[in-house]
Amino acid sequence: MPEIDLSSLHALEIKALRAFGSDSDTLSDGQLAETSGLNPGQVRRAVEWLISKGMIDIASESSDTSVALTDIGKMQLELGASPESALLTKADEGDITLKDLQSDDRFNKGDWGSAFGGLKKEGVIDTDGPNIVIKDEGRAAFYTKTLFDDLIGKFKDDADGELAMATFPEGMQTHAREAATGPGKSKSPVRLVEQAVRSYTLSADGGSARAGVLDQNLTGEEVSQLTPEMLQSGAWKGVGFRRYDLSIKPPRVQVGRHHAYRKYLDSVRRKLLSLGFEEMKGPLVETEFWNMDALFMPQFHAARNIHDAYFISEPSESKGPEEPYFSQVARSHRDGGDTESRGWRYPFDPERSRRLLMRTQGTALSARQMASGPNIPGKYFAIARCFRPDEIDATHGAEFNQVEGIVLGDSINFTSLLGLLKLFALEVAESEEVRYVPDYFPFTEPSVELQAKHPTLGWIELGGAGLFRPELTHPLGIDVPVIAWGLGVDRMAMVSLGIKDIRDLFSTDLDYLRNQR
Amino acid sequence: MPTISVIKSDLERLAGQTYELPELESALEYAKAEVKAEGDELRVQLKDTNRPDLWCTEGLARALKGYRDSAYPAYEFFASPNADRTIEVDPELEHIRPFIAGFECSGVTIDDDALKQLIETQERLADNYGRGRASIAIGIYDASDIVYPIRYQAEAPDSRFIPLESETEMSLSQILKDHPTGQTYAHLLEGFQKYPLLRDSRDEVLSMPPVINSASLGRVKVGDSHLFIEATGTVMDHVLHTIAIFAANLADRGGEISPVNVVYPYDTPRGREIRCPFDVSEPISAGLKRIRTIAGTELTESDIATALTKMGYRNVEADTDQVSAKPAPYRDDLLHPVDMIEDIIVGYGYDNFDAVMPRDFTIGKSAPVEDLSDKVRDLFVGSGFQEAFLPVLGSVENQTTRMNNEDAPVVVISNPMSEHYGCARSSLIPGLLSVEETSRRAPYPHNLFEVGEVALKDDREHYGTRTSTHLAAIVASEEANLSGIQSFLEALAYYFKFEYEVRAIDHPTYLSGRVGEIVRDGKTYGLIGELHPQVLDNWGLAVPVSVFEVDLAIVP
Repeated sequence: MPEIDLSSLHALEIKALRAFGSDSDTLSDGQLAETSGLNPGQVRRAVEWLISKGMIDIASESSDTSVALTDIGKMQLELGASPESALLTKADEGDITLKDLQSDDRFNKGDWGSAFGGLKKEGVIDTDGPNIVIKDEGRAAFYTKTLFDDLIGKFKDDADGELAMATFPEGMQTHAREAATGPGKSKSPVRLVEQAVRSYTLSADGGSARAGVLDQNLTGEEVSQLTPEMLQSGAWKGVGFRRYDLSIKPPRVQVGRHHAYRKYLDSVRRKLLSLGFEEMKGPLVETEFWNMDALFMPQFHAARNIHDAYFISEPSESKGPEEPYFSQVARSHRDGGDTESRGWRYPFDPERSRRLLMRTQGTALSARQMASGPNIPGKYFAIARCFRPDEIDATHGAEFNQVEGIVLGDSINFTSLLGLLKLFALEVAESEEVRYVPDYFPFTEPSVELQAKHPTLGWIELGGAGLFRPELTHPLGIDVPVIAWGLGVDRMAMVSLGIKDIRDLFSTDLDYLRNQR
Repeated sequence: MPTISVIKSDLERLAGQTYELPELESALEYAKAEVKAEGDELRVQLKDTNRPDLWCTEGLARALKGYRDSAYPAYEFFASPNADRTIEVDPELEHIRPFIAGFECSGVTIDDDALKQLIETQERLADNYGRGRASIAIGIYDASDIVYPIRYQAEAPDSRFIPLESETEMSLSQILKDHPTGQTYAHLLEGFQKYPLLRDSRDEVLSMPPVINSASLGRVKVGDSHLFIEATGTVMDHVLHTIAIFAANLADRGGEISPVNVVYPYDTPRGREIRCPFDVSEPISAGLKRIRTIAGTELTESDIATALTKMGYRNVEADTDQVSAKPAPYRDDLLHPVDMIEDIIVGYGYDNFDAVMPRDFTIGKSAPVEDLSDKVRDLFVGSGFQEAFLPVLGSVENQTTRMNNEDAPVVVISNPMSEHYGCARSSLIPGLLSVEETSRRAPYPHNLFEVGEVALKDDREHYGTRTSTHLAAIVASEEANLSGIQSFLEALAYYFKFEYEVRAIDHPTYLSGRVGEIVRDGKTYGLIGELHPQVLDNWGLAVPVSVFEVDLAIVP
């Protein structure tokens, strides 16, 4: 036999179960109502639930007739009079005409008229000239007294209630049937209600439940919610509290949440701060000067053509070159200036330097940082939104986040470059196994790609780094070696968050944002 | 980054070795090449944009072989003393397309693979290195019918010849106007009165650089063994460099290279008479101490010499003071001693260096605006808001028309890929509404916020724009109203300790009488209000939305 979970029982069910005096009792709806103190509606619900839980069985089923008041009946109950009884009472008091009656607004003219007609036809009254006289005193008393005592008056405690036919004396039963079904039924004060009468017995489960209820002394009077009033009045002391069904889970609340991807970037940022890096900020809209020229990318470089950056048309250019860096950078491009370089050997176009574009690489921030007197030794980073025209698909977006920066100092060389990358792999990507592959960036020499072993994806590219070219650092006023580094943070986030489509990083689907873990 | 097609068997034949794919992948790493296999064809992406000599099968094969055997071909033809073939240059070309270089090659068999590779290299160099033929265009010809000297001259637009892919003679201006290839490259000759034309001594047209070859001499086919190759352009060294690469490639395929003299009537960076192929590279040197400092490793002179030889350098001399060497003649990417030092490090092998953790003491420090952003984000998450993180780029329509505010100033992109990326956002609200637009089925209320950067037009700024960090919060629900959203602004003001007032204004985005500027100390920092039903309609939203957006500079 399965365990009965008493906490799943509703208060009504408990009361209904307790109504059974023993496991073998058979109770009707009426008996259940009487014993449990529940009203018929409550009994009906309790019985329905208990049947569906298999705790009670239907022992017998038959049909029964009971009587209820119609709206007319309810009105008569309230007035204590029917048109007939009022007519007869007035006639008993002295001379009265139909016309006199019809000025009494307790009933309308039609009701008075049909009462008069009906009583006359039945021989209860007659007319003496215009006056009404009572002919049959006995029958008159039926209308003025018996009918109220034995039928309508029975409903005085519950005008909406239903009373079993057996409640009424036999003669009244006949009267009620005739009134409710006969030709004058539209004026009848009562109506008949046919209803199924069932009786119930406890099932085996029901027996166990009843035993449990008695055992735990559950009454169905347990309180569901503790209220401030109960606390104030102390009423809580006298009551029990309804036990909950703890297996039922409520819906999940919509909480306030950080964006999962932004939170990942936060963790990278915290990590870099803890490793001693200082954060850089810069504008979304850059000049070609800081975005490219200052990084020693020649103006004819393939990555500088119109298809590789979003240029700005309103406004389209800066107000003028930023000196002294502009002249020094221009010289470095033309012939290397005093950097031991031969330069790119082309006519540097100062107008192009002023063109505005959406920042294509975070390295622009590093260039600005170098030009504004950085700490030496120093470590810097930025988490920068960057923009490049690309066919949009699962691995390419129109914009992405770059985590990049610089490390400056006399102790910087190729081995510390590898060490820095190893540090990133261990600390930021939490990857033990790394390898270094020759790479190319227009502004560094030598350049290294960092790959890390992922448990399921194999070797993945985490980022890259290199030593800035002297043609780049010297014009910006820096003459110590500088590591430039960058991490492919979008890809790292996708791996960490289990995202397959880069577009989901910037999702506009609220359900997705709410459900993402 | 250029990507090229390589036939694996062709590569292996030239490299003298067959490779399993993973083996090839790692062997090509030091050439900064990434390999993807597509059947017998390989797609190779070359990361080094300054090494066009590697953008071809021959170059990759040369690197594979050289790194393996520490040996490279001598290419003695670069040093051959004289040339009995000549290209004569017309003085008028000085201001049109001033430079040309070329050579002849015989004894090479042009099979399918070789022809395919020749055309691939031609396209790759002209497209990437030559920026769509602007600075370099390359012509390849069957040399057997060419009679020297070749004349590179400027001709009037009514000169005529039969171009490739045409049955009939066309004038030069007709080609630029009507021929498909002519149309593609017409912009390169825009504004000139005369156009470049190559003719041999019989006046037969070879080509119209940089547009198209002639149908008679300018056609190469499988079976040819005798070629003339030329490059024209606007940058002398790039033209010479291109020709050097082609000469080395054809020599690798067994061709015999015959030099050609180019004679100019004007001064060029390389003089008035240049024998091609011309070695553009120059000897380079670096101090031993400097090499060791950058490498962070005590490399010996012989380590260095070995590495440089592996990387294709000649005449390597390394002593206790100085290392000097001559780069291969097809290299024009060595600008500074650090370029040679990188080759030493690559040649020595990245795996042979220690990784030394940074030792300098530095203090971590965050940007103040990011610290503030973090605190504000925490406040709104704590207030039950979902954080959004949205693109900076968006459509102009979303920032203006759909906000019922046609005149809102935005930073406009001149070359958008699509209208979806037509401007940088100046307000965070349209982004949040795009979330609303997508999420009409998500259970309400929607409490959303974003803290993020916007680009604002600002004439006072040097760039005419300014980047600011904004906070925007919206409530979308049946009960959304101004006081509801303002209670969150109240929380912001309370915890971030500033006093503000809301100054009523009229604004087309908002319901009249339910919108105001957020003002602190007389300065406006943002807006708060209930969105106009027209705006809700524009975004297809069926519940009221109240919003505020404020520049975080409002926090003192």
